[in-house]
Amino acid sequence: MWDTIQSAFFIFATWDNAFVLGLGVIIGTFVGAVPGMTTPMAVALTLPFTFTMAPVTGILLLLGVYKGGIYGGSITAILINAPGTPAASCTVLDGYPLAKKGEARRALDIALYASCIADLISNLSLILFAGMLAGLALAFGSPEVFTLIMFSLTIIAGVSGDQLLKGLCSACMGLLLATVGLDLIYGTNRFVFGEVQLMSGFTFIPVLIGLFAVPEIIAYYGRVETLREHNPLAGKGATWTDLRSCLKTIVRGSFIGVILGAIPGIGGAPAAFLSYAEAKRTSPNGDKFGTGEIEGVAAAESGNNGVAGATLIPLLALGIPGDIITAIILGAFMIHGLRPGPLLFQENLSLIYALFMGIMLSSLFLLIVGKFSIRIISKIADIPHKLLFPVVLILCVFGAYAVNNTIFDVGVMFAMGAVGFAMLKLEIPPAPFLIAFILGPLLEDNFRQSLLLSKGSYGIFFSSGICWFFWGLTLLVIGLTIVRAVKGRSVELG
Amino acid sequence: MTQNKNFWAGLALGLIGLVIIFIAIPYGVDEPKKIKFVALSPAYYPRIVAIAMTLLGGVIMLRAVIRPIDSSAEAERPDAMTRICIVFVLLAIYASSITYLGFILGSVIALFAFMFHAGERRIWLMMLLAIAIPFGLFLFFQKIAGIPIPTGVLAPLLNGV
Repeated sequence: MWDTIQSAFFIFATWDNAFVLGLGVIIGTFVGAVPGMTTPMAVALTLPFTFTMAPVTGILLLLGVYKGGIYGGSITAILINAPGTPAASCTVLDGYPLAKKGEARRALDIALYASCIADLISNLSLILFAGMLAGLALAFGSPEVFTLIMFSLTIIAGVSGDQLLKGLCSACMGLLLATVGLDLIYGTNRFVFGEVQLMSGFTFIPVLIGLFAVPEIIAYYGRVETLREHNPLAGKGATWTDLRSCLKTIVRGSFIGVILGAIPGIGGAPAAFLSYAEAKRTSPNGDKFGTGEIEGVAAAESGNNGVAGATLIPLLALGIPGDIITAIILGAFMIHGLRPGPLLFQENLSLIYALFMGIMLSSLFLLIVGKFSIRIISKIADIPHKLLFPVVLILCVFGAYAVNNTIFDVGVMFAMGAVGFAMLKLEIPPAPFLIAFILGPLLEDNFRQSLLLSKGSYGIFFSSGICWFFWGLTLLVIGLTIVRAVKGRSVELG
Repeated sequence: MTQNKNFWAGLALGLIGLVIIFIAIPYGVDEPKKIKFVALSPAYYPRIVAIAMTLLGGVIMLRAVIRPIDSSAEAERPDAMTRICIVFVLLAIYASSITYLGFILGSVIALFAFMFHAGERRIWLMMLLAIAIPFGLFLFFQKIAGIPIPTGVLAPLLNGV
């Protein structure tokens, strides 16, 4: 054992590895912060550069880009209300209101600390519990994932505020929009209306940008320009008190991310929303979530980043890629003649340990790169809105185009901008729309796959302990929401 | 007044739901002739969601009539409607001109127009930003990210870039 660790250290401890890991984190952070430049895209673009590198060096470069990208997505979510990645979409709920209050740097700081701590916990979980979590992940079939997503959707009640009915309607719109495209089981068209571009459905990023950033820009032109109120926290970073108050939320969010990350196909967005929902339910400041609560940013970012190390669990332990990024990393392994899975642990254990060492170092690099970048990036929030908003609009157009290299997506972004503006005017909360749009395909696919397995019997959704556990949690949350609403009503009437 | 907003929101959402149930699903969802179980039909899930949305829209409308609630409206400029209409017109022109003008020239003009409409009057600053930002984004996406950006009428000039 000791010999293996020693040889792993010699494989890892080279300047090349440290350099590419740092470079990867910088590239990832930068790319993640550009709307339209997704983390999978950045990892895919970096892949060819790894061909000539040593296996550990190449894979560490990709992992650096991956980790940086996940954090980078939160930067634009906080500063300009345009999440760089779908996983960062939960961060906008409290991050942008904080930036509007002049507390962008505080929000960015907490996002960074939450990301680094969650990343570290996720990496440690990967190292310590890879085998155990891989086993748990395998117990999740379609019905279990369906019940998990049903439970995740209960967050809609939380993010709808006092507009629960409108929030539910908003979620319905999100679910419906997510059904556009080819049907998963029969391959037939749904709401395509002859438009070839719609066959693959709507892409996340143009919809997210359209729904959040564009309405804000349009509404700006109709608002009275008010002097920003003096906020004692303006321009200041997060304090130890902030971090201490969020620590419990960060740790909980990290573990939510670890567990969901270990399940192939779930991804960062559900983890972020679930972590956010739990934080809102348990925090004494739960009522302030959605209005610029620092704990909300911590919850979203910890859930989102907790996934990062854990997605490698099914990849390394079982050879199953959990998402697009790990599929690309699987490709990198194979290019270097390695096949992830149980055999890799037997035949190349020192290489695995060397990767673990690099992964641990990536959390530190993330902290350093993030700390340096925040000082510069947080200044964006101080740019006058009459210059900032038009520039953001242009950035959104380029970003929407860049995802799939199609002008159609720019049109989708503008159309969603108009829908988002109408929702803003009618006071329909957009967050449930977004949550449902992201979770919708997972919900429907697993619902129908389960029924296909059970030959139409709904009993499959109650066939395992995991299903019962999530049904129980869902009912509990719905019950609590109703009780809270009734209590609120009686206080209102009293 | 939230009462009015809720009424219109409920009406709009309910109507969207009805349009989906009676027009979009019958004409927009291709259902295979043989389906093993009803729940596996491609129309099953959207139909359930659309029905829920219609019902919820109706409830929102009813509540708006029965239980009016006041809310504080956001401070808007007296000419807000006109200004927002201009924004929509500018957005429409921008979106439709991009194919012909290309991303760079289209964005240069749009950025200048949007900054001017926002109240900026320093011409040199607007010119600088309107040219530098689209060109900077073009160079980043084209050269670093390897994403080809349509250059439209500027294509002959930018071929070598």
